[in-house]
Amino acid sequence: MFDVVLKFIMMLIVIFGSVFLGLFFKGIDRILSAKMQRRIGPPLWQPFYDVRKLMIKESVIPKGSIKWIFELFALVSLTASILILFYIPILGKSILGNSGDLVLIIYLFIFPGLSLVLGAFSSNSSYSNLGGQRLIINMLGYEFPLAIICLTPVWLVYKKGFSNIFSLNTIYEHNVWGLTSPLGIIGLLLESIVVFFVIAGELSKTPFDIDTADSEIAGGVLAEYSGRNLAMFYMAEAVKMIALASLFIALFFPWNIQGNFGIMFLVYLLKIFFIIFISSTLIKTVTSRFKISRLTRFYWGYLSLFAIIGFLFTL
Amino acid sequence: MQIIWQPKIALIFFLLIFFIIYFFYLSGEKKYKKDTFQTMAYFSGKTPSQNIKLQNIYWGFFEDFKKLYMFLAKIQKENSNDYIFLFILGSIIFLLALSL
Amino acid sequence: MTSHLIILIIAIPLLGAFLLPLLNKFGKRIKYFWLATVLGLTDIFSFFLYLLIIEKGEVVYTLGAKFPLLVSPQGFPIRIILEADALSGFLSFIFLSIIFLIFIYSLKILSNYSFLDKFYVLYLLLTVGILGFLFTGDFFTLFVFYEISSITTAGLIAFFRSEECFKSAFHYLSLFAVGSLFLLFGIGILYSEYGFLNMGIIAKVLQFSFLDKVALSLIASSLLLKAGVFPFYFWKPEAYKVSPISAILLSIISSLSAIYILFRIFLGVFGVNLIFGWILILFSIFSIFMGIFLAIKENNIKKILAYLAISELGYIILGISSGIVMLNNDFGFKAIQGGLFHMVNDILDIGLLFLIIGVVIYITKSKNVLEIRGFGHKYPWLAGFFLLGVFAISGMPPLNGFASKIIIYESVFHLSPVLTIIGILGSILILAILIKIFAIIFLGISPEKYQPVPKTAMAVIFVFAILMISIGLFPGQFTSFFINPAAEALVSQQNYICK
Repeated sequence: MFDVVLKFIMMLIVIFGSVFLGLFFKGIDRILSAKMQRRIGPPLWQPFYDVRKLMIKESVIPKGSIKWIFELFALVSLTASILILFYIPILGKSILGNSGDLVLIIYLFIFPGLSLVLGAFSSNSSYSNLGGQRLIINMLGYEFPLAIICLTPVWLVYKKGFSNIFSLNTIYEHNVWGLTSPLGIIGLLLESIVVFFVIAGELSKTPFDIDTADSEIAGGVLAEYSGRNLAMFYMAEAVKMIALASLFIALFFPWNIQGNFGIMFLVYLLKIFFIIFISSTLIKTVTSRFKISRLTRFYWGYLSLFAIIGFLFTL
Repeated sequence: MQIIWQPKIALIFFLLIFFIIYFFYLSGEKKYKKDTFQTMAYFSGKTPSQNIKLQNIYWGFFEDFKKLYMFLAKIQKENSNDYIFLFILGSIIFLLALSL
Repeated sequence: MTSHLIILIIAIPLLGAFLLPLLNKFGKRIKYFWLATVLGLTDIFSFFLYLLIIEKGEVVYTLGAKFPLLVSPQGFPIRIILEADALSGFLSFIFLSIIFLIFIYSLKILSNYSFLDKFYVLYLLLTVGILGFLFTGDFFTLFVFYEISSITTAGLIAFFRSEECFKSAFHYLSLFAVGSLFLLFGIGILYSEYGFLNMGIIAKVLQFSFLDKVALSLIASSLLLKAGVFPFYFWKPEAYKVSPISAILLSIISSLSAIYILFRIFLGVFGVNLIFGWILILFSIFSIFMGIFLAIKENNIKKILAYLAISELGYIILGISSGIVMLNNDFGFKAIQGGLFHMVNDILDIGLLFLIIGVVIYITKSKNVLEIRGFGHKYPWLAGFFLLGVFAISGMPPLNGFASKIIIYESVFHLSPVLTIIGILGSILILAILIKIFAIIFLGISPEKYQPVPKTAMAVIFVFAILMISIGLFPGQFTSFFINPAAEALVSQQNYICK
């Protein structure tokens, strides 16, 4: 009985903590990118103000749309993003880590993007249709490098002969950098670079923000969303940032300082900040948007090539 | 090897999170002015028909793979002789590979 | 009685098919009642057969004698042999139940067309063909049932009697004429070498000479042609484009039984051959990708779903043939389990999608389904079930597609991680294609009013969805109860020969 209550409390902590951390890091991201562009930028807590503002505005449902699909997928998007965090080992322990493995997480990451696409298509507006189809193409693109870089640690663990190779707990325990030859370490470094681009792609940051291209298609996927539905998608994007960063920390950067819980958590936050800084802020500020007909070629061509070379080095 | 996948637990947790978020969602503003200018889709300029076509939504994907498609489309013509030829070709490939 | 179950299962639909036109003068209700009885009885008998198999092991039934080796007065041990083990019993039970459900579905959906009694005769005969594939124990029976299923499917393709239907049926018939010739040729080679047609006996006396390889490749090509995987998939898109939905689903079931008998012959008679396994793996990978690439460009929804059926068959063959290649360790068995599990899930998922499309065609009476918009406004249940089917077939958790695909991915990874990556990519692309279809049909503004969904069709769709969700939520129990004995029966060659 106590076990169930403990799990429930941990669940609540993860839900509220992830939303809080996600919005917090989003604020940091906005300030830093503003400073890099010589602007002042919004205050640090701006995303929280945004969510509060969205929740008290009217949520208009467009005329031709199917209401239950429109609203349901806003909720599903945020729910799925939070559910991913339950399966990833944070600081070594995960809530549901014994009932889901890496393949499940790869599939669960489709859900937030898929919800956006279905919400966009059900908005019955040309702009959101365009945004939705571009988002699908974006998703098709990044899944290939994502699959390769997620399966590389699995391959390394498999070569050493451990059992339960797909379980994230196993991968987290055996530090993936210590399992290969020096050539393999070069390969893993290559794949780490690809990781940052894949994170930028999944979060739809420039140069991959083809779906929410503000100046071209007036908001893209979220053009017809407002009010509390938009707040759900906003928070889902923030939580997805945390989930992606946590996944790649568990796969590629699992070191930690031995100490009490507070210090380990602080190091974890620093690692998240580092990943988000490079993939979100840095790449966003120095690049411009990809054209849609060049996007797939970049993902499946260059990025996957680097990932495959990295994988081959670890063989 | 054991497959680690427990769908019931995943579903239970999904529903739990869903309901917690739903309670937060309900605290938002529900009303909106129905059937006014606000609910029409946003178009800047002349309004085309309200029915959107979705047939060609993978244009970007095709542009990158145009050459592959041209090659594949040539094989797919509906000619009975072609089909039988390809069938016999397939069997021969089978045979050759097996006899290695 | 129980000892004759297996022949009754084949004989009852056969008898039912031939008696059906005689009931013409009694009116529609008697005919439907007769059909329901025939199919229902067959289904119940197959369930009892499966229970019998679980109790006693294999069931081998010889027509005309007590044991398969009993010779006739001239001294030839040749008999027609039917054989059912855990795998074929399980598959026959599942397939017959689905065939029964599809019959209920087509009660209303096809009711506007004429020549229905001929349709149902062909329907029952195709059922007989499928059962023959599942229960055959010697090669000549295989050939006979191959012919039966080819000819009946050709008739079913041409049901709507338009020019395009006739063209597709002609392509199908000509291709399968060559296919059955190849099959006969292969069987003839085996017969001339060993003098027996009995699968068990040939398994015992087989030396793997060059002639045997020729025979194996001929038989395998003709069975793969029936299955419709790369490189023999050309008849599928145009055949599925013009046939009624019930015929399409029956054809998918016959493809699955062709795959079953292919692997039965391969593993049971010829033994484990690594090269053959690798060829099949290569074919399956190409099936997955060709199916997806060709489906993206298509504009006719039945063709798109036909290509997706080809992809899913690719997954099944990938699972089972990887299992054969890796049979010396634990992962191979798991891969075979994944492939067999995916057989069941495939027919349920694609079946659900096809059923809903059939309902849409019936309600709107339109030729081009992709011109319809806004169907989801008035039919939220159909939209919801279609979305469920889309998620299931692309392998999204927690539905049944994910349960079988995760087994396939994780076991195939031990053979080569490239295969897992191909599998994951294929799933995503299938999802992309189906989301487009869902958005075109069900979202948007609907300009017209349509009639409500017929209740029998809705009930069948509901049953399919419930089966999908429950198999998805209880994969462990389903696997250990049904799939494990089936996989063991496929793998153990000894059991097969002993009888």
